[in-house]
Amino acid sequence: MKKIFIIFSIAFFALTLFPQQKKGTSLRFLPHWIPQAQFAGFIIAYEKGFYQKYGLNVELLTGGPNRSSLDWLAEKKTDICVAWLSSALQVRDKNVKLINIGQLIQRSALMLVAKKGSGIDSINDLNGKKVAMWQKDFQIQPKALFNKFNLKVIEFPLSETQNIFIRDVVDVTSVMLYNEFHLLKNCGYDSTDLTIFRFEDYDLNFPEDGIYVLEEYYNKNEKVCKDFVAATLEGWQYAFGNEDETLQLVKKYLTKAKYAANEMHQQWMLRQMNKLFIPSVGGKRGELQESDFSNVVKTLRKSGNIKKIIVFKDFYRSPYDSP
Amino acid sequence: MIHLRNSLAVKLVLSILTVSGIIFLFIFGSNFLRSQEILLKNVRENAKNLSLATVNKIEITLNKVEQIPKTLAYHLEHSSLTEKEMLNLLTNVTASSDEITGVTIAFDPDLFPGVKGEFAPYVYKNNGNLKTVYLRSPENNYQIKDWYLIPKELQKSMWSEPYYNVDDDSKILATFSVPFYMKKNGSRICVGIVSAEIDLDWLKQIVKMTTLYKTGYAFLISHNGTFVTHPTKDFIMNETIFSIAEKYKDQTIREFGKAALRGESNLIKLKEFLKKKDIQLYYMPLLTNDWSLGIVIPEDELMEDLNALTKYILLYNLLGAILLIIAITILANRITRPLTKLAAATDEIASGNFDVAIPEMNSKDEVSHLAASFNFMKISLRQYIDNLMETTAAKQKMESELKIAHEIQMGILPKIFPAFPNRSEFDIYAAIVPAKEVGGDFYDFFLLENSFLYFTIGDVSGKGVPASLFMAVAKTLIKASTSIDYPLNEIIAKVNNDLCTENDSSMFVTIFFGRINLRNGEVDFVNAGHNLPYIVSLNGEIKKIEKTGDIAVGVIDNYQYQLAKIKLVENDTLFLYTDGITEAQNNLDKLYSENRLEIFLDSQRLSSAKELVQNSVKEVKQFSGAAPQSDDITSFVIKWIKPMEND
Repeated sequence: MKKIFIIFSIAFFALTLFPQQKKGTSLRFLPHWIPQAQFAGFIIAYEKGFYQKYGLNVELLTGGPNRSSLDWLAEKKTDICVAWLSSALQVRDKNVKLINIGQLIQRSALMLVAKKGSGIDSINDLNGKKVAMWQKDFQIQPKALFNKFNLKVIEFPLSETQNIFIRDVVDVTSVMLYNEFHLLKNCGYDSTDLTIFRFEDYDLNFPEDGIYVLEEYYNKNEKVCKDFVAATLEGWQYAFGNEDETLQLVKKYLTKAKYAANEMHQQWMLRQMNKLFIPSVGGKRGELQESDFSNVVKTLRKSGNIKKIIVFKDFYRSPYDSP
Repeated sequence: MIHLRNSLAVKLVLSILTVSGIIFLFIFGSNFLRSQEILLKNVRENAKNLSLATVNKIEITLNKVEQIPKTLAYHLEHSSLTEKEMLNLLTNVTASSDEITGVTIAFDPDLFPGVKGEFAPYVYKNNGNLKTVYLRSPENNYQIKDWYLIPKELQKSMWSEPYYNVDDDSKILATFSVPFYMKKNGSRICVGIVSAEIDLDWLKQIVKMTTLYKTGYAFLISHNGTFVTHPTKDFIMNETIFSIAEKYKDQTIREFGKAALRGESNLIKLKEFLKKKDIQLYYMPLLTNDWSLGIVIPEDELMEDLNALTKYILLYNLLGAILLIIAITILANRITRPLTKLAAATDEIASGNFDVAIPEMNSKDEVSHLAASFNFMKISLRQYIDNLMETTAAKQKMESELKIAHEIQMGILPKIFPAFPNRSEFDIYAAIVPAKEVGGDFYDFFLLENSFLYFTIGDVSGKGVPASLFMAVAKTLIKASTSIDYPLNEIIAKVNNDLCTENDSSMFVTIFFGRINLRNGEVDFVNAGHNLPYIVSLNGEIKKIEKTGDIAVGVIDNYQYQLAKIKLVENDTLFLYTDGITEAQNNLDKLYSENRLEIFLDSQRLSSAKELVQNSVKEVKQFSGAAPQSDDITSFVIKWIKPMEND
């Protein structure tokens, strides 16, 4: 009896001594923007222990405007990151061997808007108009669109606000459906006040947020990568189904990173993400569609953003293929 | 006992309270609405004045700040400053102004002489020291910043949207930007922006001081609807008026936001964003920077005085209503108490007690009139009833006397049947059904020498005691005067003479007087004006006895009456009657008539004397139905069955 007691005591002591020690593979993850509802699935997977369930010990790095996720990936400051497909393809073109292991946003959230009553009702009305665009990859689709319709526009740089559009410096501005579009609503613009141009309507659909790793990391940690995507997709599923809880957690992360956390804005963002995750040509959530891939590659080659031929099966590993 | 619901007091209270309640509610309601209107009008004035004062205070500071970049822009256009002079100038103006936290002169790239690319010196306050930096890409790509790009493109001085200080996010800043120009190749081109930025802390303080009532407050929203100040800290820079509208799903807030951003001013009613209380919101634009000031006045506080007043008015009215109820109840009781007493007295009187006293009334109102009338009625009623009692007593006495007279009258008629039980050769029966009043019908029969049956039926004119007395006299005289030796007509003549003597009241009597010789059925008779009897035989027709045409007895003195004779056969019946039968009336005023009598008699050939009398009475009564009997009905039957055998 005494022996048994001692054994139990030792076992209990051992358990209490090392409760914090986390088992499993450690990996770092960096989103390509601030911790907002755009990344709710990752936050949920982390907070609700989905990563741990898969034996992953994930470190969530804080993204932001001054941290290019793809640069950090190339420099191996993170193991996994989120990036736009078009951005990733350009980096791959520059010989960084990264691969897509899961595609989240299937449809372009980027879109152009104009004020109703400004005389812009169709795509051809953009000709000769002042158009505000963000830098770099945000210009690929608009410029391809202008080329496609042979439009000459006056380009304006877009900062972090939409004030140049609101103050009528430009006629057209770029917005993300889940972000700036709602900010415009919060400045008093109703949906009916705006004319909207969505790129998928002009055969220029660019899948956006995808999950990327370096090929060499993938080759060593294929199961880890697949588990990470699976846990993340579970996180998203949970996030869409538990809006209030998710928004509370997102708010916590935003506040921690010293960003304003507007509840309605984050709610809008989360709801739009759910829509944007639906593949444009059918298929599963989380899969990169080859047709979308080809379309983006074609557009990027045409605009000179990439020079090489990038093959789909080299670039993409489906999360649903068994390791 | 009167049910409470029917009580006069309750009815009065209910009706007066209802009417006065409706009047009160109408006056109170319209007064309340009017007061509210006046109150809101005053609030609008107050809020407007307060807004104006606040807006002015803000704009004075903003205008003061605006002067600095404007002056700098003027200098830049009209004098060529070296970099050093420029930095001196920037340092001096930044140091000299309390409000300004930093000033920038930003040139378009390559446009500041001697410098390739961007040139934008920025002098700012940092913990009480002045620092100078040159804004450069990529960290400070000023060319795409709102404060630079927008005024430059629009060629217009303007205030920026508020923004957080990069170094200290507890501070909210705003920038006033002025485009400046230079002459180049003969034309005036915009070469850059002079801007001054200010900390908006002072503005927060001004808005914070702007309050109306206990918890009323003011807030400021920017040109985009962003909260610049608000008592709820979370709102500031994080929410816009439109995100609040979305959050609380309140379209009226969104409408307000749009109107405010259009630069309108108004007083509107809203639900408060957080507490969901009703508020009045006055809003007014700041013309300097297109922002909008809102003043929130909680409606419950606004209406506090009015509501308190309303409560008092309601309380007073409640007290008034209670007083009214008491007054009406007292008044109603004053009216109903004597009425109740009167009612009790009436009940007593109704039950026959005329001695009950009618309650005394001290007042001189309608009720005392009623009591007086009532008293008079009681006295009159009592007199009337006394009279009635006397009259009734007299009448009763008379009636009882009459009854006695009638009984005497009837008592003298032979009433025991069968009258001759040991005589089988004839059958005799008679009956008088008297009318209500004493009448003068009579009948009589008697035997003389065992073989002569004398019989008589009569009807005295008139009614009442004189008639009955006259009948008694007539009957007695006939019987007294009858003797076997006298012929019947002489007997009647004698009676006639006796009755005519001293017949002052001119009464008369019709008489049928006869004698049957029971041996052979011969009948002698005198008919003094009476209804002719019928002879009913077993066979053959019903026939009346022949008329003799003599007049009634007691009319003419010394009148000579005729003697007539008939002969009966065996089983012939003599049916004698008075006009009470033939002149009996039914409800339709039809007479029974001789016709009906003859038909009746025709059906009675086999009846005994008793049966015929009783049937005839029944027949006449059946005919009359419910019609009152006005005369005595006398039915008298003699049936000669067979000749009398000799002794």
